[in-house]
Amino acid sequence: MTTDDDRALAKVGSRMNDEQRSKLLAAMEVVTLSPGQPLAREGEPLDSLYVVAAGKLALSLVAAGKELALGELGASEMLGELAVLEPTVASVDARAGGPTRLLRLSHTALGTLRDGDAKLASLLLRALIEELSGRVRNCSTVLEQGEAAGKLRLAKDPENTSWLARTFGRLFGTRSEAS
Amino acid sequence: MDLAHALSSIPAFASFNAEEVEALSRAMDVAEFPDGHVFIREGDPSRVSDAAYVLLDGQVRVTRTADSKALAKELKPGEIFGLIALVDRGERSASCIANGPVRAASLGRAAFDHLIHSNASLAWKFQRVVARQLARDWERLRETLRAALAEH
Repeated sequence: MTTDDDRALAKVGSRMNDEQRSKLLAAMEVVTLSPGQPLAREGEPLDSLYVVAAGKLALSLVAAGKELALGELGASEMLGELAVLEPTVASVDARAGGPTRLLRLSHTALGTLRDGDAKLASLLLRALIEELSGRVRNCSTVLEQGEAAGKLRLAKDPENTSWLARTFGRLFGTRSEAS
Repeated sequence: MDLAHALSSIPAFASFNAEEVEALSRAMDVAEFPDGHVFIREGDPSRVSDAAYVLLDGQVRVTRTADSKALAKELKPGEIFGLIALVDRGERSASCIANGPVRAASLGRAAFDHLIHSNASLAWKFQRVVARQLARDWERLRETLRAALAEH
């Protein structure tokens, strides 16, 4: 375990005490990626929560045959909040934006954690919900503002495409400004 | 039909055992509301008096002042609304208004907090319900954006 790993839990472990954070860390495994190495591909199975401990994850998707950058996830940001609850498929492509260290909590590990400490699992779920609801609220607001400004209607405008991609990125917690 | 029986037939509560459904129903109040009743008003801050609702009969319109076609929706019996704000304590993100006479069961904040603090299993299952609701909202936004991107 490193200081980076401990800091990575700033969001997901925000409601936990030191003992609970240690237990959570013990249930997670470290995943290291070299620059450009893919973590997830759109449409492929995803069953884990990944928290960035160091480095960054670059998110993208292919739309109308073109790859669009959605933004990057940095330290303590996460991917797979829903997948760890109910295994699903990835909604975007994610690859390392440099040397990257991630903490992974699989669906199975979450089940084990819950069996051993229901309170801790509930705190984790609460943190995931708060993170997701913040993103949904934020993205909804930005999308409505964009819709009102006609950004969804003006097709084939590179500026609007870029705005849409950044707004999409907000669903994943990236810090891109989508104003 | 009593509330516990009605709740047990709602898919969102399918994972709740009989004891948990009973505990939930005891914490809720059933009432009838007239057409146009505003259950939740967009922009209102989190309050002690906040409640989540399970729609039992009738329809509820969900609207936002931006009048976004992408985000407007209509709720039908068995759907839950207001639950996310109870968990994240953020301001209300949309208005929920009765579209015709409505019968609904409400769960106040104090009752919700008591339920999830007194029973870890129930807390987990309740939060799963919220997570699934968020997942549906998230997916709707994602599909809206993806459809728009596909046209660009």
